[in-house]
Amino acid sequence: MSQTVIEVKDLCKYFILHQQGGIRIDALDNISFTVEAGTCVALYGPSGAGKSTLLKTLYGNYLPTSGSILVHCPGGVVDIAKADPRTVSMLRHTCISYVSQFLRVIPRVSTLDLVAEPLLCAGVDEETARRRACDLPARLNLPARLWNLAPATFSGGEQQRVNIARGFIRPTPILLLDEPTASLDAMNRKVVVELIKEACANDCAVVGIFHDDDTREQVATSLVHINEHHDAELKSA
Amino acid sequence: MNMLNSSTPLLKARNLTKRYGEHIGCQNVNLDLWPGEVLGIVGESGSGKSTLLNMLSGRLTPTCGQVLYRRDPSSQLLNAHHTQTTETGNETGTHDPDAGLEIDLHTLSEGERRRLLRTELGFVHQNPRDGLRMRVSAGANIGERLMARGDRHYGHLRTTALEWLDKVELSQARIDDAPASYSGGMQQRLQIARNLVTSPRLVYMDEPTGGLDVSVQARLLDLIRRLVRDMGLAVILVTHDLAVARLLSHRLMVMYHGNVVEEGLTDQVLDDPHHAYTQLLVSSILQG
Repeated sequence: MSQTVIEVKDLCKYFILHQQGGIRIDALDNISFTVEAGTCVALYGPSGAGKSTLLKTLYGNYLPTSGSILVHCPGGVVDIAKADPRTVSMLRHTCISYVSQFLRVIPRVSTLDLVAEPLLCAGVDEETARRRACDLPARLNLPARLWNLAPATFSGGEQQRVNIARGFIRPTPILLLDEPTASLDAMNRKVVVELIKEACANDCAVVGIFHDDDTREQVATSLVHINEHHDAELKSA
Repeated sequence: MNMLNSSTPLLKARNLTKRYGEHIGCQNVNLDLWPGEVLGIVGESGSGKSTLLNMLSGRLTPTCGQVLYRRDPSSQLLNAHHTQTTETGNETGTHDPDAGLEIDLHTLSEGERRRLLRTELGFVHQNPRDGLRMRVSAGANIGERLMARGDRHYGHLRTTALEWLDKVELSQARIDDAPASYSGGMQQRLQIARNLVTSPRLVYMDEPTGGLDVSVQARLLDLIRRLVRDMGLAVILVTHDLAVARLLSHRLMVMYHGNVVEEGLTDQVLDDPHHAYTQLLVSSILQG
C-alpha cells in the first residue's frame, strides 16, 4: 500500500480583477484528488481549464479561495492552503520542487551557479553543490561550453534544460512540473522522461502538465482530467 | 537553513505609526522578521516605505508603537539595565537567554542605538554618499566599523579591508583612493562592504540598486543575494522596483497610503495579487 503524499480536497479558486471592473474569473471548482508516493499524476484538459492554476496552487504560488491541500512531508502534515508564508517557504526548501515553464533568474549569473543554487539554499556545502551541478546539464546534453555562461542568450530549449536541472538537482518528496518538455527535442524529452521515472522509482510524488501526448503516456500513472467547467475527475492513465 | 529552524523573530514591529501632524506617514504596521530572512517593502513614492524603514531602524521616532529587536546573545554591548520588553507588557515566558534579550530600539539612548547600528545592524542608503565618508580612503571607510568595535591593529584592519574590497568585486589597488573618485556602482558596493564588515545580523536597505544602470544593478543584485545567503543576514529591503523585490526578497509587504495592504510570499503576492492596488502595481510592470 503506497503512502499518500498530497491530498487535494474541494479546492476552489477564483480571481477578482479589480482593475477590470471587478470581473470574477473562475479557475478551479471543487477539485479533489490524491497523489501517492512513487506515482506521477498528469493534469490534463483543454487550454484555460485551470491546469497551471492548480499546479501553482499546489506550490503555494497562488492562494486558493477555499478547500485544502494536505502535504505529507518528513516534518509532518501541512495544509498549504492555510499555511503561513514561512511554512510554505520551509516546505519549498525541504519537500517540494517546482519546474516552471520559464526560467526567471538574476541576469548575468552563470548556468552552473544557477543549477547549484537550490543545493546551496538547502545548506549543501559549496564544493559538493558545484560538483553535483555539473551532472544534470551533462545528462541533459547541454554543451559544456555553455556552463559558465549566463542563460539569457540561450535558446528556448537550452533555457528550459537549465530550469529542469534546477528542479531535479535536489530530490524532494514532491515534484511539480509545468510543461517541462514543451520546447525540447526528442532526444532531450527522452532524458526528461527518464528523470521523471527515476524520481518516481525513488518514491517521489510527481504532478505535472504535459502537452505532448507521447511524454504524458510514458510517465503518467494516473490523470486528473480538468474540464472546461474547471472541475475534475481522477482516471487511471 | 538556519532561518527556518529559528523559532524566535529577530525583529518585531507592533502597531507602528507615524503621523506628521494631520498627515499619516504610515500606520498600524505589524511585522516579524526571522534571522536570515529578506523582507521586501514595496509601494509607490509617498506610500510610507521610507518612513517605515527609518522607524524600523531606530532612526525616526514613531508616534506610537514598538520596534523590538532581539540582540545577539554573545554581544557584550548594551548592558543589561534594559529590562525585557514584551508585546503585551507583562509576559514573562519569552525570555530565553540563548535567544538574546529583546530590546525596544526606541527606548535606547542615542549612544546605544548608534553603537547597535555600527555593530549588529547596518543601513545601506540609496545614495552611497549618505552612507560613506567621502573624504577618507575606501580602506578607512571599511575599517571604521571595526575600529568602533574596538579593533586597533592597523595591519589587521588593512587586511580585512582588502578582503572586503575583493568580496564586493572592487580592485584592491584602489584601497587608498577616496570614494569620491569611484563610480556610483562602485560606491554602492563600498557602502555594502562598510556595512557588512562587522557581520551584522540585520541590514536595512533603502533602494540599494536605485540610480544604478541596469548592468551594474544585475551584478549588485547577485552580490547582495550571495552575501545574504552566505552570511545568514536578515534584510529589510525598501524598493519601488518589483523585479528587484522578486529576485531578492523571501516575503513582501505592499504599502499604499501609509497602510500595509497586502503581504505574503514574494512570488505569491506578485503572481496572485488580491488587493486592487497590488494588482495595479503588478499590471504596470514593463515587459523588457
